[in-house]
Amino acid sequence: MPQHRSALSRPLFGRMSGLLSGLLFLAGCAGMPADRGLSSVSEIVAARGEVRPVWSVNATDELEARNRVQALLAGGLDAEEAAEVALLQSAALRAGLEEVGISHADLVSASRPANPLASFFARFPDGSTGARGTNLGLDLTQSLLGLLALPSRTAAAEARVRAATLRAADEALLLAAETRAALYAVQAAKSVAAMRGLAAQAAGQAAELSRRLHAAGNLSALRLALDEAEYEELLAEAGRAQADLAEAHADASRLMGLGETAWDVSGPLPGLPANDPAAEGLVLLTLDNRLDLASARALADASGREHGLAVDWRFLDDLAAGASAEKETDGRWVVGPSLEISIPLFDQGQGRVAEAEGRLRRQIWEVRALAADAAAEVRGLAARLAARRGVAERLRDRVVPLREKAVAEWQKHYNFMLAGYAELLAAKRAEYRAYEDYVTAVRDWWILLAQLRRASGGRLPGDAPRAEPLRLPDGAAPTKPPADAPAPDHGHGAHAH
Amino acid sequence: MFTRRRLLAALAGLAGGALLRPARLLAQHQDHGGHAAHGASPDPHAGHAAPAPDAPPATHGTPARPGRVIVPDTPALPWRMSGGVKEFHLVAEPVEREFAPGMTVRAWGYNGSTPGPTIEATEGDRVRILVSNRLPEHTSVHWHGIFLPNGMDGVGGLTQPHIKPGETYAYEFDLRQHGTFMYHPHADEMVQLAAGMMGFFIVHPRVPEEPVDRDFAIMLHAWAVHPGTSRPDPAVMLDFNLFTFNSKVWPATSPLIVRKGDRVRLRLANLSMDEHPIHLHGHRFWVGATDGGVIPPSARWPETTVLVPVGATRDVLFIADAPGDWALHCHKSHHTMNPMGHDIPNMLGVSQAGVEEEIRKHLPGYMAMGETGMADMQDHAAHMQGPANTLPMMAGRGPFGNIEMGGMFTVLKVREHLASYDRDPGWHRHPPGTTARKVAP
Ligand SMILES: [Cu+2]
Repeated sequence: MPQHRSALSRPLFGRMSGLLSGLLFLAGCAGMPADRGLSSVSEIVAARGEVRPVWSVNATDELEARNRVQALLAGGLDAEEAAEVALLQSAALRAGLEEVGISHADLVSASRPANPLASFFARFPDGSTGARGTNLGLDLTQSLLGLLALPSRTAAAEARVRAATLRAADEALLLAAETRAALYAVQAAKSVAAMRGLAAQAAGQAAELSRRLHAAGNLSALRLALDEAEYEELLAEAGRAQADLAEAHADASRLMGLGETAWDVSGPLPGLPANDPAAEGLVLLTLDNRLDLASARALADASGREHGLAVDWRFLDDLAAGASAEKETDGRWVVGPSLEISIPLFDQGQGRVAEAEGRLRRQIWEVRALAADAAAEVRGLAARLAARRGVAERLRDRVVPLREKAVAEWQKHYNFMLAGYAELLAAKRAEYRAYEDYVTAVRDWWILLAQLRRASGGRLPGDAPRAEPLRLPDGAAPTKPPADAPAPDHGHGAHAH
Repeated sequence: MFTRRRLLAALAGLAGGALLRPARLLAQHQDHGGHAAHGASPDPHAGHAAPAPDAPPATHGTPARPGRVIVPDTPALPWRMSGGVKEFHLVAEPVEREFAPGMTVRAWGYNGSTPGPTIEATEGDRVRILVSNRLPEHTSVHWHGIFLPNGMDGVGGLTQPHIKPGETYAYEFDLRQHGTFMYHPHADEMVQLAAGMMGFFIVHPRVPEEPVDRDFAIMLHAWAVHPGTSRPDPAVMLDFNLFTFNSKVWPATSPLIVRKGDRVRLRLANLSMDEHPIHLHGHRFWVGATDGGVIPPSARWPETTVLVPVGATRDVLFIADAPGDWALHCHKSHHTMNPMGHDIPNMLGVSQAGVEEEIRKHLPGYMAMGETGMADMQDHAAHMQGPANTLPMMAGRGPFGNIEMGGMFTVLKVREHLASYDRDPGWHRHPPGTTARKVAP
C-alpha cells in the first residue's frame, strides 16, 4: 500500500519540520549585527565619560572618522582630544575590537542547532533472487541533544559576547588613559625643554659677560672656564630635555596610531584643578564600574551556564531522532521513526562536568582576584594622587613664589652693587628650575588621575577634565599661536630661542 | 698782601692763646651742669678777641672748670652729687640706632644710645658709676685708660664677677688724670663690641691747659650689618661694611660747625678692629694727646692725617682759620662708603651692549653698571630699589653735585659769620674766582 505509506510519510515530515522551526524560534537564533557589535562598545565607552567613538564599519564612515581626526590634529591636541584621536585612529584598538565581532559570530553559531542529517541509499538486487525492484532507503536524523541544549548554549555565547564587548570597552578606556598620560607627558616635556632652554640662555648671557670680563682683563681664565662649563652643561641638559620631548611625542604618536602624521600639543598642561576626585566610595564605585571586572563576571556567567549544560546532559553523549523510509525490492515502502541514544555505560560525563566546574571555579577566582587588585589599585592611586597634589601645590604655592622672590631680592642686591650678574642670573636659573619641577609635579598628578579614572572604570565624581593652563614664565609656554594671529607682545618677558 | 699765616704769626706774638678769652671760659664754667642735653655749647664767642696761633699753646691758663665736649649725635650722661661723689648711672641694654635714614640697626648700647652717653668729669673728682645690665647676657665695664684700683678695672672674671642680667654694680674711684678715655665691656667682647657697646669718658683737667672754643669727640667704629639685615654680625672679623662716626654714616653724620679762628680740639677714639687714618682738609693739626696723656708740645709735629689705632684715643688741636666746607674723613676709601659687595665682578671697562637687552628679557629690571666706574651708582640708587634696611654705597649731595661718599665722612664748616653753632649754615659761599673752573672744552 504505497499510497498508505506515502500518506503516512507526509504528515510525519511535516510535523518534524514544524518542530524544528519551533525550536529554532525558541532558541532565538541569532544573526550577525551589521556593525559587528562596535556600537555597543561605543555606548559603554561614552557612558564612562569618553567621547562616543564612531568606529567605521564601511568606507563612508571611514572617511568621516579620518576627517574628524584631521580636524583634531589641525588645532593641536590637548589630552581629551588626543584620547579621542586614539579611540578613532588606533589600529591596535581596532584589532582588539574585532574580538567583539568574533564573539558575535560565535553566538551566531551557538544559537543555531546542528543541521539534520539525511542519508540516502539505493541498492540493486542480485538477479538470482528474482527481485526486480531497486531497494531505496532515506534516513533523516536530527540531533536532539543539540536542540535541547540550544537555549543554554545561546545564553552562554551571549554572556561571552557581553564579556568581549566589555573587554573591548575596557581596552578603549585603557588606551584613552594611556594616551592622556602620554599627552600630559608631551606637554610637560615641552615646558621642561622650554625651561631648560631659558636656563641655558641665562647661563649663556652670564658666560658672554664673563668672556667680556676676561677680555677686559678683569676675570681669570679659571673663572671664565667655570662659567663657560656651567653654560655648556646647561646646554647639554637642554639637549636631554629635547630628546625626552621627542621620546614622549613618539610614545603619544604610537598610542594614537598616528604613524608619520605631524601634530603638536595645543598648549601647556592644565593647571591643578581645585580638588582631587572624591575618595569616599571609590572602591564600591570601582567594583560597580570597572569594565575588566564586569567582563570577567560575564565570563563567569558563561562558565556557569556551560557548567549547567554539562551537568544537565552529563549522561548523554548524543541523542538523535529521525525517520527512516525504505522501499523494498518488491516496491513496498516501509516507513518508521528512529532514535539514537548513547548509553552511559562507561562514561557518565564525570570528566566533562569536572572540567566545566573547574573552569567556572577558575573564573570566579579570577573575578575575585581582579576585584581585589582593582580595590588595591584605586586606593593606592587615590593616595598617590593626594600626595602628588601636596607636592604640586607646594611647588606652585611656595617654591616657585619663593624662587621668584629670591630673584627680586637678588635684583635689589645687584642694584646696590652687592651682587654681580652671575648670582642674579643663577637665581633666575633656579627659578626656571622650580618651574620645571612644578610642571613635572603637575604632570605626575594628571597622569595619576588618568590612571585612577581607568582603574575605577571611568570618570569620577568631582573629576574636572580640563582646567586653566598652568602659569609659566613669559615666553616659555609651548603654545603656537594660530597662523593668522599677530605675534604676541612679550613685553619684558623672556623668549625661548 | 696780608696773608692768613702772617696774621696768625702776628697774633701769636701777643699772648698765649689760652689767656685771650677769660669771659668765655667763665661762661662755660657757669653753664656746665652735666644734666643738660648733649651737643651744643653755649655761645662761646662773647668777648671773642682774636684767633690763636695754630701752634700748640705752650702756656697754662688760669684755673677754671672745663667746657662741654660736643659729641655729635650722642647724649651726655647726667650725674648727681651724692655725698661728695659724682654719681652716674649707665644701663647696658639693646638699642635701635638709625645709621642714616633708611637704615636702623638693632644694636646694643647704654641708656638707649650707641655710642653710650658721654661721661664727663674733672680731674680730682671722685666718681661712682652704677652699671645696670638689661642685656640678655652678662657684661662688665672697663674704664679704658683710667688709673684706678685694680678691682675697678672691669675685666669680667679677672677683676670682678660678671654683671648678670638684672644686676647693678657700682664702680667708684678717684680721677687722678685728665684726657680722652673710653668705656666698654670686657665680657663677650666679640659680641658686645660688635653690637656697639662703647662710649667716651672725658676727664677735664682741673686747670685748663689748652682751652679751646670747640671741643668735639668722635667715636670711630666698624660694623658688619649684612645687606637686608638689621643686626650686627659678631662673627665678622674683617669684612665690615659700615664705618661710623658716633654710630652714624654719611650723609647722616652731623657737620662740625665752627667759627673762623676757633681753636678746635677733636677727640678721636677707636674700638673697632681696624685702624682709621682720619684726615682733615684745608688745615693742619697737632696731635696733642693720647689716652696715655698729653704729648709735650715739644714732641708734637704737624699732621693732616692722624692714624687712630685700635683701642686708642687721639686728641688733635687746630685753629679753624680757613673758611669753607672741609671734608673730614677716614682716608681708607672703603671706610667712606656704605655697603658694597666684596665679591662682585669687576665690570670696569666691560661693555654690556647687546647682552644687557637679552638679559632684560629674563630680568626686566636689569641694568648694566660699572663699565666706566661706579660713580653712576649714586644716581641709580635714587630710582632703583635695594635690599630692605640697606643704604646705597654712596650718597650725599653738595652744591656742585653728588658727593659719592658714605661711612666715616663729615664736613667741617668754617664760617666767618655764624649766627649759631646749633644751626647748619648751609654750603660755603665761595668768593668769586676761588673755585676750580672748567677751561676745556
Ligand atoms: Cu677707617
